[in-house]
Amino acid sequence: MAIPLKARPVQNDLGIVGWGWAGRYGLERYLYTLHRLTGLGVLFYLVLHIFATSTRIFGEPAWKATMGFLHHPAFRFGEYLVFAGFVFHALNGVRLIFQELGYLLGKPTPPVFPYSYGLRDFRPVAFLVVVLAVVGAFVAFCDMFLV
Amino acid sequence: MKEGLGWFFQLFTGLFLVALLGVHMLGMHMDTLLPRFGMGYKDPLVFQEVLKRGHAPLFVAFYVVFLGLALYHGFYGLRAVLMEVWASSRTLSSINMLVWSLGLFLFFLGTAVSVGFFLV
Amino acid sequence: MERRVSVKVQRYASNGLPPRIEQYEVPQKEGMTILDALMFIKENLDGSLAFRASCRMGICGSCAMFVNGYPYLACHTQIHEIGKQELIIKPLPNFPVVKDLVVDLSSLFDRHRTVLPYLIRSEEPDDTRPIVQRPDELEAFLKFSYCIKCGICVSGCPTCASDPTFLGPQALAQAWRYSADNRDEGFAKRKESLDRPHGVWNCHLAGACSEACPKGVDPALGIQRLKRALIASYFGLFRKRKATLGPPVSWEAAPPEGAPRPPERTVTPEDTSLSGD
Ligand code: HEM
Ligand code: HEM
Ligand code: SF4
Ligand code: FES
Repeated sequence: MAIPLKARPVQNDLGIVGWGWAGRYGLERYLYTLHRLTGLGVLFYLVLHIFATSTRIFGEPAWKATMGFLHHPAFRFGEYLVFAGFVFHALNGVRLIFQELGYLLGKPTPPVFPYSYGLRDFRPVAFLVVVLAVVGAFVAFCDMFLV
Repeated sequence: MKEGLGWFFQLFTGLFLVALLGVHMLGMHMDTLLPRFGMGYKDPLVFQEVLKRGHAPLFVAFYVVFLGLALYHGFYGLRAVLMEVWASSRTLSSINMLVWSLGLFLFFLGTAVSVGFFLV
Repeated sequence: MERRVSVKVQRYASNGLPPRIEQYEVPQKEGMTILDALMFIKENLDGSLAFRASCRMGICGSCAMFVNGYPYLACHTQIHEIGKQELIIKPLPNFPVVKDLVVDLSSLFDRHRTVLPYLIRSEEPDDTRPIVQRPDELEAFLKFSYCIKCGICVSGCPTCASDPTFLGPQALAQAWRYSADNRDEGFAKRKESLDRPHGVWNCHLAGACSEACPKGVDPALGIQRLKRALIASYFGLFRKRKATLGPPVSWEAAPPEGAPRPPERTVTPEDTSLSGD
């Protein structure tokens, strides 16, 4: 049985705003938002990147012109954001690869109050992702702007 | 095609991208700290370095595989995002068309550049 | 001194006028639930207020609503749990509002039906041969069977927020509740509604469903297990231990000393006309 295309009127739906906020939820809910943002951000960068690096085929002058253009501080900062976004997306992505296949979530526990759920039982994993991503972004910051 | 196979392949490519993009990012981007520990490139973006890599068959193969996996992974993700914004079977075929044509175009462009650069 | 709680309710009448907030002052008694406060308003302050409730004990799934930025069962939540002297009550997000706090849950039930939420077996049941399940086989699905169809998980799900054709955590968790049950043989049939665009793959594990579910169902866990089972089934790797039939029970003969008695027969074979409706 197929669901009718517009299964319901969308009045009172949170819409795209609901990707970012739908209530006072915990950590994983916002990791979802950030994962989506960074994924789309890196994809956008990749498209521009393929065009930018393709100038190497026109020889040294064209390449130098491109690199000179991209040396502007705004692009440098953009490159940093891409790196930080990538670090988060990769780390969180590894967590998602396991958890979206049902690993690192534990077994179904007996339904006895107070209830527990797999994601919260494994919250340390999500926490580790955040810590490692912050460390990675910090190291990249030092590499780029401080050292 | 089975919907789930496409999804599974996105996870699969993600796993490979950790290694491929990890190496690429460390080599291309971390050009201050890594050389101090005797790793990576000092000036990865000067043309002589680009030329050297571009004429190494291993690098060319690396780039073509990397390009394909990254494009598949990213555009499959974009497809999921778009289909959650415009949810209907009519828009789904447009989204599929858009994602496939953009992805294939970029794949051929990138491959042509990598291979062309190797040959010149 | 009497404690009072100020209750702000979003009012909406499906008459083209935009929703508005109405404020009521309610004397707060010890142990008072959000539902009690709404009952007080309806009985003493404003009879036109509309909300749904039936069992007032967390069983029927009628009274889910959005209170101070989080979805709760109104009957299952005491005012002091919210920790504020001001309640802001809105209808459950991601469902169309009929009036005030009453939302239309029919889309939830429609999507629930598409996953065939019942045991599917190839053979006719034989009531003299009960099916035996081990405790671990019971636990594999028990948690998921506690769902009361309140819609709270759907209200928190980001995919449901923008994609009205997504099956949603409630239906997907029930798909797993039956597929994980080793008495069930209907996984192949259920695949059709799960393994498609807007099916199970649009879950991205934001986890709000499991966090907010008032019955501890943990839809997110069920859905990820469902994904694994679907992928495994492509490679012929989805297996569960087939449920075995126990020794025949006799309805007439007295059981041996100390053995538990089989349940009393409620329908005799001559009454089979009663079995269909
Ligand atoms: C932000 C730091 C980055 C820098 C400095 C950088 C630099 C470069 C350079 C110089 C090339 C040209 C090939 C060569 O010189 O060997 C290249 C190629 C490439 N990069 Fe990056 N890159 C970065 C990030 C990324 C990211 C985030 C992605 C993926 C999403 C990516 C994907 C690629 C691909 C696929 C190619 C091959 C393109 C082709 O075949 O023409 N790069 N990169
Ligand atoms: C570095 C290793 C990477 C890993 C481990 C990884 C992993 C993942 C995973 C597990 C998902 C979730 C799929 C789902 O929820 O259904 C995902 C989504 C996504 N990824 Fe990646 N990814 C990586 C790199 C990239 C790159 C380089 C790009 C861009 C070219 C990218 C773009 C996306 C996009 C756009 C999404 C969809 C986001 C969403 O649906 O919310 N990822 N990634
Ligand atoms: S899974 Fe939980 S939150 Fe969702 S409908 Fe069932 S009882 Fe309500
Ligand atoms: S009134 Fe039945 S669940 Fe609240």
